[in-house]
This record gives sequence, structure tokens and C-alpha cells, in this order.
Amino acid sequence: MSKKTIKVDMLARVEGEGAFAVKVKDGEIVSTQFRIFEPPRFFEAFLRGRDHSEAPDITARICGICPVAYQMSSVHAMEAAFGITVDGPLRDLRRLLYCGEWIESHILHAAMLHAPDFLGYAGAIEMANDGHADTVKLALELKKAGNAIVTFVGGREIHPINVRVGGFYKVPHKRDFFPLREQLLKARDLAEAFVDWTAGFDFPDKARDYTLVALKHPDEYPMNEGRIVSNRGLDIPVEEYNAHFREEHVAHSNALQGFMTDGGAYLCGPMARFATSFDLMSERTRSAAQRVGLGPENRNPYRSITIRAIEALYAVDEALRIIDAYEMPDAPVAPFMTRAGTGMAATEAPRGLLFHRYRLEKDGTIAEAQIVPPTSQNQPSIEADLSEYIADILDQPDETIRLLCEQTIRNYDPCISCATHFLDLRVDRE
Amino acid sequence: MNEADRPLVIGVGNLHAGDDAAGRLVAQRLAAKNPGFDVFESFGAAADLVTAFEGRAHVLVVDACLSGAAIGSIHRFDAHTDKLPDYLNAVSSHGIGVAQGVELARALGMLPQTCEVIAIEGRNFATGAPVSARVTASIAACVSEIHNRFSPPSPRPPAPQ
Repeated sequence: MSKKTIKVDMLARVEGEGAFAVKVKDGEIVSTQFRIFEPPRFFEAFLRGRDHSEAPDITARICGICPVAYQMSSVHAMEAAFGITVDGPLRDLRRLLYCGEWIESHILHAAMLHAPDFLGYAGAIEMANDGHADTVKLALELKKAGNAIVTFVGGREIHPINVRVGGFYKVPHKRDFFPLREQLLKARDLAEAFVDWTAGFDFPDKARDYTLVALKHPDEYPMNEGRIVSNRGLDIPVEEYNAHFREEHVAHSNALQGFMTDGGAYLCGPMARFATSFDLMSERTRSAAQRVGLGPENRNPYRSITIRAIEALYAVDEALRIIDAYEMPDAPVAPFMTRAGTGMAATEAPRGLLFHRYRLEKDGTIAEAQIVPPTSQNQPSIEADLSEYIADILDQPDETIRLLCEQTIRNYDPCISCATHFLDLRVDRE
Repeated sequence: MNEADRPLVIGVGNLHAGDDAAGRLVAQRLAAKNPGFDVFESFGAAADLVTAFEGRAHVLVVDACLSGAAIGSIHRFDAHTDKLPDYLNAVSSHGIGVAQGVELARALGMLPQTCEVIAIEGRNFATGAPVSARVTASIAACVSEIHNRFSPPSPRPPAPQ
């Protein structure tokens, strides 16, 4: 009998502190664990007793990469509780802000963190030093366009401060968009080139029959609102989220893991959105996808790097559409009164579905909060991928197995909260 | 002086992680003096540092570090002649920190003409912890040093007629 455990105690090039271990016995995988050991951060607990108006700024602090997602899910949930409708230019500005975050986050991950896996480099520095400097520069320039949107609409680049329940604190004049529009026009060409660059990688020929879950809106590629759908026929309003999904604590992870209520794992994020709302992307984006041979039927998660690039192109295109149609609203915020109630909302963070639920007192104080981030939901799917995708290479050197495990985890762009860059592989043999 | 020639001081760190705030606090205190140079605060992610370097000839980065030296020690590096130590990555909130930002800029041919790094030795980097007293003293020393070094000289008062 032979046993071995392949472990990485600190996973590099992800946003946060995570690790994984694969246990093998007699040539068969007996367990896979994606461990998140970053300490619990208790955001849901310390939202209790705070005023509803503080939620967007407090929850934005959950992540430096996707603060807009937390702001959006929190304000939409509050607005649902108070019966506020935010539409017209204010709604469009929120979508524009989200476009900025998708560009920033997708390009950072695809170019700096994930691409080195496909090209055989330890990281972006080695990649840049070995003939890919121009592409890294292109990616940084493209990411800057995302930063510029977030700064322009959100007030600053990281942890934006302009979002409030009911709208914004301040809205821009149409004339102020000119420099941003010029920057985005250039960024659109960069985004097209970036799609083609990622599409040229060699992808492992692997796929699974995933349950894909994403928001679905009748008229637009999902960001801020929609029903929750799956490729297996689920189609529910956001308010029924807790009836169809549950979170579970497992001993090896400090993050709750998300399952369907029937116990099944599911995948959320770019590949799920792409599969369920492909027809709602812009014509330019669909053409780019067609050019590189990607469509909604794709189930190869390694190609998610190109789907991220395509979504970044879509976000640039969509940002330009919003800017061109923008007319300054009469007021930056919709008037409202607080009332007791429960509000729920889900939006599409770069990494997938982000669900928020708040129970509010009559004066708008938060009595209870529930936040379910996409990485929590994707953990069981990550573990299932590790089981299935390395089963046929167990006879190969540990280093080969380790690299494929890391690449597989990075398909999900897991956001644990802040990344680490120390890697220590241990192989325990018996 | 145009933007390219104006010195840029980048304060790196996390304001809510004890001594990791050192670089950011140096930047904030310099900015409050309305100096004749530019000041920028950063979480220290490599991609953001490279973007901040773009088009600049003279950059000074201030960060906190944990090398094992006495708390409050001030380390100085010239990015063109010194290899930046790994401990300039370890304390960064994203792990991919100042040293990698400098190396990425070098790989991309975007390292400013002069690029220096000052690192203040910290001890307590816990979330919500206060800045240590010795680090606070070193922050003040760095603010004074950088301000004196980069601020343009005050115009001389007119000579008496």
C-alpha cells in the first residue's frame, strides 16, 4: 500500500491566505482539501447595530480587489428593504462603476496571476523578463482604464467612497467624462488584443458537467440585478436564495462552504455568466468570443482566463455605451424613508454571485446581516476539480501535480482577501 | 518643474494594521505640509506601484518592514544598486509588495531614473493595533528628512533697499 499527500501550505498568486492538500492512497485520490486559513473576520457580526448607511463603506473593506461588488450588493439589499427604486442615470452610473471593477479585477488576475501558469513562469516578473514585457505593459494600461472608472465614479481607486443607499453622494457632469471616454476607446483595442493573447495558450483538455449559477437579466449581461438561474433549470428570485442554497462549516476551512440545498456543488463566476447570458453581450464581445472559438457551451475551466479577458472587453464596451447615453440626473440620490424589514440582493462580483441579506429596524439600524461571497460558494467545486483533473497524472512527478493543482485553483480567481507569495511544497510519503 | 521631474514620494501600507501604517502615515504627514513634490498613498500591490512609477524620474517609496532589526530602525535602499530584501514583500497586505513592484518595473523598463526605498522596522502588524511608539518616532524623522530633502528652497527675502 502506498500513501502520499501533496500539499501546498501557502498558495501563491491568489487573493488571500489559502492552501491545499491532496491525499493519494494506492494510486487513487482519497481526499482533496482547499483550505482557507485566514482568520474569520466577523463582518456580519460587526454590522449589527450599525446604521444602514454605513453598510456600503463597511462591507467595501471586505476586499481591496472587489469593494464595488460589496457596495453594490449592500445598497441594493437596503433599497429592497426600504422600497427604493434607483433607476435612470443613477442605475447606469452604478453599472459603470461595476464595469471599472470588472476590468481592474479580471486583468489583474488574468495577466499577473494566472497567465504565468500557462506559459510556465513562476510569476509576472519572470514572464516580463522573458519576452512578454509588452503584454504585461498592455495589461497594466488596460487595468488603468478600470482604475480610472472607479476613481471617476467612486471617488477613489480602492475602497470607493461615493456610493450610498439611494444613489451617490455626488454625480458627474456629462462634460467631465471626456478624458475617461478617450482612455476607454484606447483600452478597447488593448482589450481585444488581450483576448487574443490569452486564447493562444495551451489549455489542459479537461471539462466537467458543472452546475453553473449566475444572475440573469432579461436585457443585459448580469451585473447589478436579475434572477438567479442555473444551466439545470433553476430560475428563482433573489429572495429565495436561502431556500435553494446553504452554507456549511467544514473543519479544514475558515470560510463557510456553499452548496445547493440538495448537497451538490456549483460554480459561479465568469464561466457561469458566459454560459447563461452569452447572447446578452455586446456584438463586439460576441465577435471576439467567436474569433477565439469560445461559446456558452464551454465547460473547460482553464479557458476561464480567456472568458475573463472577454468580460473585460465587454466591460470596456459597456462603459462606453453608458457614457455616451449618460445625462446628469436631477439629484444624486433617490429620497427614501427608513422602515423595518428585510432586504436581499445579489450582484455579480468579478468572481461570481455575491448575496447580501439584511434585517433592519424601523430607524434603519442593522439587526442582522448575511453575506455570501463567491469564493465561499466555489470552494466545493474547486475541491471536485482537484479530484477529477489530476486523477490521470498521479504517476507524474509531484511538482507536475502541484502545478496543475495551483493552476486549477486559479481558474476560480479565489479571493480570500489578500494574497501571499510564499510557497512551500511538502510531500508526505508512506 | 514638470511632473516627470518632480519627486514622487509613495507611502505604502495598511492604516489599520499597526506598524504597517508607517509608510502611509509618512505620506499623509508630508501631504499635509503642501510640499513642493508629489505624494501618493498605496496598499503596495506590485501592479499599482508600477503604474505610479510611470513617467516619473525620481521616486522614493516608504514602507514598513519586519527584518528582525531593532524596532524603529530605518533601512535605506537604492533600487538601482541594491537587491531589495524579501522582507519588503512579507509585510505587505497583498504579499506581492514593494520588492516585487520594483522588480516588475525593472523588467518592464519602467524603473525611474532614481528609485529609493526607505523601510521602517515595525514589530506589531496586528489588525487594529496602534502604531508602536518607536515607529512613531521614526515616522517623524522620515517626514523631516524627506521634506528637507525634496522641498524646494524658500525664496530669499528681498534685500533691503
